Amino acid sequence: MANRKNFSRYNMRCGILLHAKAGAERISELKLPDLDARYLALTGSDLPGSNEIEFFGRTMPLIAKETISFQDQIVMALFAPDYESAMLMMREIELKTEPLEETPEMGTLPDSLEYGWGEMEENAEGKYKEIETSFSLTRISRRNKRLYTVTAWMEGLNMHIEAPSQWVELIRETVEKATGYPKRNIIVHLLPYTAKHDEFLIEPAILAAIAATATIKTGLPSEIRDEGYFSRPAVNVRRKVLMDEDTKPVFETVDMTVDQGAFAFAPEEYQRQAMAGIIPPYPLKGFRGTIKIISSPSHPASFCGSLGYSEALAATEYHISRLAEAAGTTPNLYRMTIEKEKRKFTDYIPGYDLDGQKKCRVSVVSASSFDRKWSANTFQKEEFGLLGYLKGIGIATGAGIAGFSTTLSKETGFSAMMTFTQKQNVTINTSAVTHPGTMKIWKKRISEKIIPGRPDGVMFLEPGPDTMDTGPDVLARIVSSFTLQLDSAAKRLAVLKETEKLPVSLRFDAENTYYPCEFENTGNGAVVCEVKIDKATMIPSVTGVWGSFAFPSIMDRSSLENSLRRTIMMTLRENGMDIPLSFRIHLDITEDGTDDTISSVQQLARGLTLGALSNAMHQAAGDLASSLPISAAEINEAFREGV
Amino acid sequence: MKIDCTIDGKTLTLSLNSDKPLSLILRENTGDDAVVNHCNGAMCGLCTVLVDGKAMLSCMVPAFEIRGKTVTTFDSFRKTKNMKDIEKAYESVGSFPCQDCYASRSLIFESLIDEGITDPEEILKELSIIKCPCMDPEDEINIVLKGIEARRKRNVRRTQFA
Repeated sequence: MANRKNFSRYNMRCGILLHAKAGAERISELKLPDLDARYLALTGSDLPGSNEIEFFGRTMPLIAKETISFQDQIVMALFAPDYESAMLMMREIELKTEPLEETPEMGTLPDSLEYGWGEMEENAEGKYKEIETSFSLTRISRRNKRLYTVTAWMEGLNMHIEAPSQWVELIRETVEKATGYPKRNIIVHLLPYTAKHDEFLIEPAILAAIAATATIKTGLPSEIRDEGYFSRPAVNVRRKVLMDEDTKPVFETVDMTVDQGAFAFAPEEYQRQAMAGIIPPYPLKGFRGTIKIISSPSHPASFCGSLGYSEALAATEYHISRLAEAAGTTPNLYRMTIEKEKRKFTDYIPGYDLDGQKKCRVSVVSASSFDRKWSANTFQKEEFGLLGYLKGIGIATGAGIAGFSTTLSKETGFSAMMTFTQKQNVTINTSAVTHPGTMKIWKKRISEKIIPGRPDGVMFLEPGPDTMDTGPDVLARIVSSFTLQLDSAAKRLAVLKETEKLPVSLRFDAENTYYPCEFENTGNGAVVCEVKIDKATMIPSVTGVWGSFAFPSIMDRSSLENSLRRTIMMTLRENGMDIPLSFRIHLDITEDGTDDTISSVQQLARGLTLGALSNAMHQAAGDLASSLPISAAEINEAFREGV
Repeated sequence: MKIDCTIDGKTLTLSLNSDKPLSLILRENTGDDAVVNHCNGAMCGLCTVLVDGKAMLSCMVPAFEIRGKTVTTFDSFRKTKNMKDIEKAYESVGSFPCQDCYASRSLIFESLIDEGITDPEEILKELSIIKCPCMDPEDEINIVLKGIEARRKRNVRRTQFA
């Protein structure tokens, strides 16, 4: 990777952003003070090219022009010789807005995605027991307090951008559209980052376009800095089930509504991922599922590491526990009675064997004494006065998926190229140059297949104008799906190098394994979560988490365990849980040794933790704690109103 | 105003506003933006540095406070033997902070290990300034205890050889 140009900070423009204080407003006046040559103000109309960012066919303005669609939208950027001067000058800028009478244009939303099987029956004769459940997650929207910088500078004909980014190509395309600068001459230098909520997907591209415009206008290197933003969409899942006399579900209807904020990025893919999560693992005679995307004047939702699957999986697990309650048994025993050996094959998730999941479930149930605790909490619930027992335990079990759906993979042309050179080395042309640890593992795996014992002979080409776009590093697809693509390409190249004239190249799609259904199940897991609500303060705290996971292959056990722990902790804290001193995560990780796709650890652990937590909170506080995240004040208020 | 201080072993004379936060001095004046965050005092905990060996939030330290003091950022601390003790503690407990808070958490661990604090309540109180939820409390306590143990062993060996 080319080094950053060593320019002096004194010859640089430092930029800060003015964000909107509220959404759904019109800019009535933007009054700027007299700015001398050292300053540069950029509004939506100052960009030489197009003022929009495009992501999978959906667009969003880079800078709000007349209408502010959501709170925190960028209204203008101000560049000055240093940040202090920029901040002082920003105080002089007056932004006047007025509420919009009509709802602002939020971009086009897709139609509801519907899927189902079997003929649905009405419960006209009261033949079935009807159960309705509702699962909801409220929006979490906040700055993540992590400041990052994006720098742009010119060197000869080339425009250099330095930024943390999950998708380098998106930066190049956005800068090209905004500035008119040819993409070939835009070189991106990646900064190290940790994207806990995929916050480095869209925003760095926006900042890069603004910084590049400032560089073109001032002729000086420009740096812009901002805090990352995290926004989890609001989700509501309503289910209606008809159960037979044996308390087995027969017909089920699911309606999932997702508020993705002012602009939806990849909403069709969200629908597909969510559909894979809401299809229940137990057999049904009839099923109808609908995923609807809506918009609101709030910050566009991040991918949040899952793009809908985790939330949908949590909703399904929450629902199963409510059915178990209605059947009067523990969720573990209830699952044993309703689940078969294999789940039904659908267009979204294959009919895989449920044995792996059962093993994980048995492991956590025995480690946590789940059945005993669940029954004890249920019996005690009614005996403890007005507030109840305030203790709960919940379980969630499921399979992981990784990467994009087959439909999206077919639509996108993400690819990479592997070459066996005359010097008997292997070069790889890809934009997926990520963590050094991952690349070390890739080199080892590829060398084993083509040049045994020489991992140093495998080289990833430096980013340049001819770098191939391998797509965004989201949903663990670079680690999981792309690793398998590299393996498969290495196998084919090992054969070609013996038969073809050197150098021999092989171009392969990063997602060329088309599954018979949208996603492939990879890895299984089960999580039990125990919560307690403090009787005096009403602070909800998690007393323990037990997790059991089984993955096809484990590249680095210690990193995997850390990743699972981090995801569990983050999910608990994100949803308002207090972590006491005695808290401990008990993890059991197994490897089945197969060569299957590696799962998205974050997606699976997040979904299961969320599901187990919702179940535990429901047992502790009943319907009063109806949504996550929840705070002590909300529980207190709910009890006051409920009692 | 002019401030003399030592940052990462380099003696510097900086000319800056007396109330400029240390985090911004590190980012803008010494170009250390890879490790140090600046949250404008929102207590993210990711801007921790060692000031005379004590962990502090650099966004809460004004420039005049560092006059004549020694500031150590993670960039220079990572190369020291003290960091090796902390790495050993991470390995023996089997838990590592995430990339985001690795630097800050390690510096707070160093401060606690250096002072020899073993009281769990006090350890958690000190570590509570980091809002990143990647580690569970028991692991944090064990890391400090293991770190103290490793440091003590190293000091004993050094004394024996001397």
